[in-house]
Amino acid sequence: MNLDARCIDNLREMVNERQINDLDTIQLDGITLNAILELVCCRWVWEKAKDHVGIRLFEKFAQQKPFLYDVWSQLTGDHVRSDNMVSNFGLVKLETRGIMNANDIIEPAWSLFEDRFRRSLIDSGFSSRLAQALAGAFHEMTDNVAQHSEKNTRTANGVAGYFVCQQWMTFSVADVGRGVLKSLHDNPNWRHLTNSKDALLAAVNEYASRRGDFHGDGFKEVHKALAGLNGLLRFRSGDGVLHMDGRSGPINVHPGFSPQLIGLQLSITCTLDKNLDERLI
Amino acid sequence: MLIIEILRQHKRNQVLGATLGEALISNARPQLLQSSPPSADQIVILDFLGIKDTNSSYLKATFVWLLLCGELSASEQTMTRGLADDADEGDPFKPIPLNVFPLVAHLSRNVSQELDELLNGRKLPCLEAITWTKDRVISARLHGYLDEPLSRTFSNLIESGSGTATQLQAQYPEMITPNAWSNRLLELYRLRLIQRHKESREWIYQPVAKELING
Repeated sequence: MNLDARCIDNLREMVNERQINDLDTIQLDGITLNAILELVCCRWVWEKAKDHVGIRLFEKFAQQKPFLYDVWSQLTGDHVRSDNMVSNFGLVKLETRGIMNANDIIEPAWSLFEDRFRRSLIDSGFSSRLAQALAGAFHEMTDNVAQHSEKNTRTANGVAGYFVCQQWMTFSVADVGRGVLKSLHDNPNWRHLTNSKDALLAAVNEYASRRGDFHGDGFKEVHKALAGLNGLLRFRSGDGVLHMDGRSGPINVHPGFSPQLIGLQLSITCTLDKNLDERLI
Repeated sequence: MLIIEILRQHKRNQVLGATLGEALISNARPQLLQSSPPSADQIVILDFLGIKDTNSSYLKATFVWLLLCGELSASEQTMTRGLADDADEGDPFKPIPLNVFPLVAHLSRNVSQELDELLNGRKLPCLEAITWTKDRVISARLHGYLDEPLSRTFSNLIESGSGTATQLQAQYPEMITPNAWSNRLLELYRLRLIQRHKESREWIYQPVAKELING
């Protein structure tokens, strides 16, 4: 089987409903980057809830795709800086990295990580200007993990990664923090929001921020970077999900519900040609 | 005067994101806290020398944060509603009243574009220091937005060097009351473009920079 982020939604529901019976027959052939990041977030929740069905399911997948173990350890911080990379003649095409606190984002190693992403884009046919803009959008999204971390401790459990192929790229950022709805409730202007779907719409489309009106430009950077490109965006938080499809001109927004999962998980995929199909790892 | 050299602080020529901006402010916090009212005015220059790129999140966490702190300090003195009134109470980076007058310096083309876009979107002005001594900005360039009457008042004050509302009204006749002159000067003070001190019963205003360079 191949897994994308929507499959992870279904799997989470099946675990919740105890609909998974025979794990032995499951064979994982390929998985998308955003599915990997969402799956490790699920594992986090299953671990906390001591949900053995969920944990066994994760283990089954990870035995077939050991990369999942690396990303899991990055999310939990068990192996500090357990970077994993798939490189092509020295240029990194696939890499993930954990975010434990604000310092991770501002240290030089993080700049190097982002720079590898930018250089991979250029090597894969993206113009230097576009690569710069996409790397900037990636930074803003990872910065959000630190910005939306627990207010008192300033700690976060997040992971970010990119996957670049010829004229195609995706990046994904996931955390198991408070989620968008709770975060926006810090700001009195957004306390009227009652569900995660509306909170996602406010954050992504109206640039709502947990701070005053002078913040909230992270998603603006994403829209700016992706303007005019073939792009697919997925934002998931709490029980809300937002799919944005820019394949045919203006971006179409499709809000919906997704089985409950803490934190925020997002992915942005774009291509220079017409083939936006998600690539498997 | 406090000069914050961004390149020296971050050791990189591209400065992005709110988190990095907050780190810069955190490092400068002890010096900035010395400007807690009622301390003397403190000019703070964010020196972008060697910085190739930035983004609005970084600029908001640094320059705009300082501007909000300065504005809060001015509002405390004048009891007007401030720009930062809707900020979150539990936020460690919530603006606090600081008697600061923030400027930027050595803007690259990209940094200047990013700053202008941010300021125009928010209708805020900012001075880019061009030359300065250890305690005074000699010349500066105005970025961002300043409406026509305020812009005229600012130019008038720069031309005069300093003055009270009454003196400016006498020197530059306009069909407005001394009270209107006073309000404009107060607004420029709130936007941290001009400083002021009291002599007998009148406020004497002077621009943060002695000269304004056009373009």
